[in-house]
Amino acid sequence: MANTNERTLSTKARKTTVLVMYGAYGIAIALWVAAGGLRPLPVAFLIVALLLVSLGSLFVLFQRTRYWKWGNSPDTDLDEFQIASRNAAYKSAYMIVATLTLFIMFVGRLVMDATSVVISDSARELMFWGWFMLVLTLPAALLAWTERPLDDDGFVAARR
Amino acid sequence: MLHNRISVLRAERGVSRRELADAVEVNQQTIGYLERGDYGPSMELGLRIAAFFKAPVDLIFSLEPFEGLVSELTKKGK
Repeated sequence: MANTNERTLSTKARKTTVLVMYGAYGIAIALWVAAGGLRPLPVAFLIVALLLVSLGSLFVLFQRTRYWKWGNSPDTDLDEFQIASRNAAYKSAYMIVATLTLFIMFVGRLVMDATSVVISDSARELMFWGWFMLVLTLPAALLAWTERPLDDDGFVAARR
Repeated sequence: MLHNRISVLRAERGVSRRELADAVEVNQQTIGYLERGDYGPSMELGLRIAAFFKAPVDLIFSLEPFEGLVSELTKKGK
């Protein structure tokens, strides 16, 4: 069984890291689309900085905590609670990704039809990698987001 | 909801979460979630916990909330 106990962040730090990870990437895409590419230079620096912040958050969340292992280990490495939590996270992740995909396709189509916004190939590529990251990381991010902290190993107030 | 007395039994026997977790082959964190009532164990895990404490399953788990120790002792005293 995988020991998924050894490393964690506080609840606040975990939630902040998840928000920064996805938020920074989303803002970078929006800036890229709005600016039409990596120009002018200050915008380019801002976009690169946001992408680095997003990747840094991803690294902090999954390299320095147990959630990646928890979200991606085979059943044989997890106990029954961990399997149940992971399966619930995958179900939620599927619903979120499916809903977002349909929503973005629908709204994107409406916006493209109603306006003259042109999304460049490079911006599409950035969106593709963002979606790729979201699909890969969302289950583990949901585990990080939803886990409620336990007290220490002291004897908890008796539930009887 | 499944109620349990795992934390009481642990305290009584002086067993840490880690020791119980190792004995029943789950993660320490899982014991914490069980104690808090956030997770209902499978029958297999329930039986393993009962075997570890050498106690009947219905002494550890119940569908109804357990009475408080004080009220139980008070009843016995009457």
